[in-house]
Amino acid sequence: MTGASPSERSQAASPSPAGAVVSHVADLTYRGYDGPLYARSFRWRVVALSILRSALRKPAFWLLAAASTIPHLFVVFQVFMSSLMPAGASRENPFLGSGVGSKYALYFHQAITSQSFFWLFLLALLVGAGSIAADNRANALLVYLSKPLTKTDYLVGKWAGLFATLALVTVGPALLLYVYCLFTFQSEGFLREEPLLIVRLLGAALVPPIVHASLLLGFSAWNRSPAVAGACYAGVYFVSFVAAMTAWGVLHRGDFAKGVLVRHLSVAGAIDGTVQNILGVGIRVMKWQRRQGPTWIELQPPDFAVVLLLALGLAVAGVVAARLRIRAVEVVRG
Amino acid sequence: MIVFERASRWYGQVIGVNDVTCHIGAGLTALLGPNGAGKSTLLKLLTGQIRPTAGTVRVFGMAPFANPAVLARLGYCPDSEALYDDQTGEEFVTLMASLSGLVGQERSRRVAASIERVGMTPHSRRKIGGYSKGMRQRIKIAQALVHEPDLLVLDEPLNGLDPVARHEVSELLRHLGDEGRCVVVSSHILHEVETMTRNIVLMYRGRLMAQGDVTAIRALIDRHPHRIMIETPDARRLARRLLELPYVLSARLDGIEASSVEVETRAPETFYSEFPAIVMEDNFRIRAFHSPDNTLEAVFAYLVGA
Repeated sequence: MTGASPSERSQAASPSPAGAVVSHVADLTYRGYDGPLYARSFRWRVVALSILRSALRKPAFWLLAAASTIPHLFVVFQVFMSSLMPAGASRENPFLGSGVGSKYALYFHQAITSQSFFWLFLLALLVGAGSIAADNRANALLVYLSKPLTKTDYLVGKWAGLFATLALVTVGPALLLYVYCLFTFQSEGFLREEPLLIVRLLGAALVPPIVHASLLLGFSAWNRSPAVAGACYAGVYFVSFVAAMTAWGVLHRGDFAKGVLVRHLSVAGAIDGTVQNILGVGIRVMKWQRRQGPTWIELQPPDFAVVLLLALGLAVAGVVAARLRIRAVEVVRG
Repeated sequence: MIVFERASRWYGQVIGVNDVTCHIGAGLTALLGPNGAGKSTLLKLLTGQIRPTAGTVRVFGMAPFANPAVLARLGYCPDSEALYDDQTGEEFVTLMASLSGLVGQERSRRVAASIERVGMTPHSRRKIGGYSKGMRQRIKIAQALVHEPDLLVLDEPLNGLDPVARHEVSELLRHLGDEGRCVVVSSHILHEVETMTRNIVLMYRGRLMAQGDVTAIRALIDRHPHRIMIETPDARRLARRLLELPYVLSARLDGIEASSVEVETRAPETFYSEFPAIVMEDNFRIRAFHSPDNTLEAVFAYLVGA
C-alpha cells in the first residue's frame, strides 16, 4: 500500500453500514510525514531481518557457528590425507570408511550430517527456541499484529529469518569445502565425474535448516518460555532418534541392511535420509561380532519418497502448529 | 472515523462486548469503565485483533480485522509490556517503524522525532530492560506514533506512571487530540481521564452506558438532582435564601460551624444564571463554587448505580 495524499485520505472514508456518513478528518496538517509506505510484501522481510540481526549479535551464535565447521574441517583433513595417498587407495583409508556411493559426495554427506546432528541443532535451539516464545512472553504479538502485518507475514518472516540464519551456517562451510575439493581434485576429474554435485550439495545443505526452522517455530509458538520450547524440541529430537535406532537394532538384529527405513523414522533420521538421497550416498556402520570382530556393513539410502515425505511432513506440521497458535490476544473460553 | 454498529463479541459463553453502537470522531475520547467492562475487547475490535461475533465495526470506512489498509493508519499502545528487554528503545521503535513501511532516512527521522516527542531522547540508546515503568510506557507511545497514524489507540496509558510522567503523558495525548487526530484512550481511573478530556464513552458489563460530553451526559440524568457546592462563611444565611427559590430542592450545611452549603436543584441552568444576582443583592461572600456532579466520578456512579 502506498501513502495517499491528505486530500485523498480525507475522501477515503466511506459511508457507515447504516448509511450515515462517517466523520472525516479533513485537516491532516498534523501529519509530519505523508510520503510512501512500503508494500506489504516488504514487511515479512523486516521480521526476518530482525531474527537474523538478533542472532548475529549473540556471541554464542558465533561460537556455535565456528564450532559447527568442525565436521567440515575434519573432512578437509581427510581430503588432505587422501591426497597424500596413491590414487585408488582412498576407499581403504580408515578416515573415509563412513559411506558408499558417489566418491566426492561422501565428503559432503559426512560434513552435513555431522554438523546437523549436533552443532546445527544447538544453533537452531539458540536462535529458534525464542523466536515466537519470546514474543509470547513479552506480549509483543499485540504490537506486531497492530502493524500492517498479517499473521502469515509474521510467520513467514520468522521462518525465513530462522531458515536464513541456519542456512548461512550450513551452506557457507559446504561451499568452502566444495571449493577446496575442486582445487584438490581438479586434475582427478572432480567436475567431470560428479558435475551436478554443487546443485545436490546446495539442496542437501538446505534440508537441515528447513526441518529445524519449521519444527522449532512450532515448539516456540506453543510456549511462553524459550527455554521450555528448546527443551521440548530437544526432547522430541533425541527421544525420536534413540527410539528409531533402538527399533532398528531390535527388529533387524540379524540383518541391519534390511531395516534402513526404520533407522530413519526420527527427526534426525529424516534429515539424514533425505540428505543421503539428495547426495546419492549410503553409509557404513560397524557391527561387532564376537568371533569375527568388527565388520563394516553398507547401508543403502532409505526410500527417498518416504523420508522426503517424513521430512516435509515434520516441516509442515511445525509451521501449521505455529500458525494455529499465533494470535494477538488470549481467547477466553467460557 | 470509528463506527460500531450493534457490535458484539463473545468468548464462548462470556460476553466481552454486547450490542454496542457508537461513533467516535477526531479528538481525544476516553473509553471508561471498571475492570471487566469490555474496554479492552472494544479496543481489540477496533484495532482489528479480533472480529465481532455479531454486528459491524468500521474504521476509516473499512472492517479493521486483519486489514493492513486500516492498520497502516493506526497506532496502538497496548496495556501489557510488549517490549524486548535486550533491545534499546531506539531499536524497538525502528523495528516498529520498519513494520509500518518506513525505510531509510525518513525512518530514522521519524524514529528520532517520535522518541523526542515522548521525551525519551536521552534514554533511547539504553536497553529497555533498564527502563522504568514510565519510560517503557513512553517508548510504547513512541512506537505507536512513529508512522504518524490518523488513529491512535492507547490501552491504560497512564498505568504505573509517577505523577510527573502522568502529567506529561496526559499533556501529550491532549495535544495529539487537539491536533485533529482521533485518539482513543481507555482507563478505569476517572480522575486521570478528567484531566485529558470531557468526551467519554462509558462501558459497563460489556454494554455502552453513555457517550458524549460529561456535562451533557450529566444533564440527561434526570433521576438525580444536580448538586452544587458553595463555600462561604455565610453558609446558614445563604442556605435560607436559596431555599426560597422554587427550583431548589434542598440545601444542606456541612456542620454546626457551617462553612459550605450543598444545594440540590433540578434546574441547574436557571440556578447558574440567577445565582450571581442573588450573591450581589444580599452581599454574600463566596470563597469557592463547584459542582461535584460534573465530575466523571459522579456521572459514572449515577449511571452504573454505584
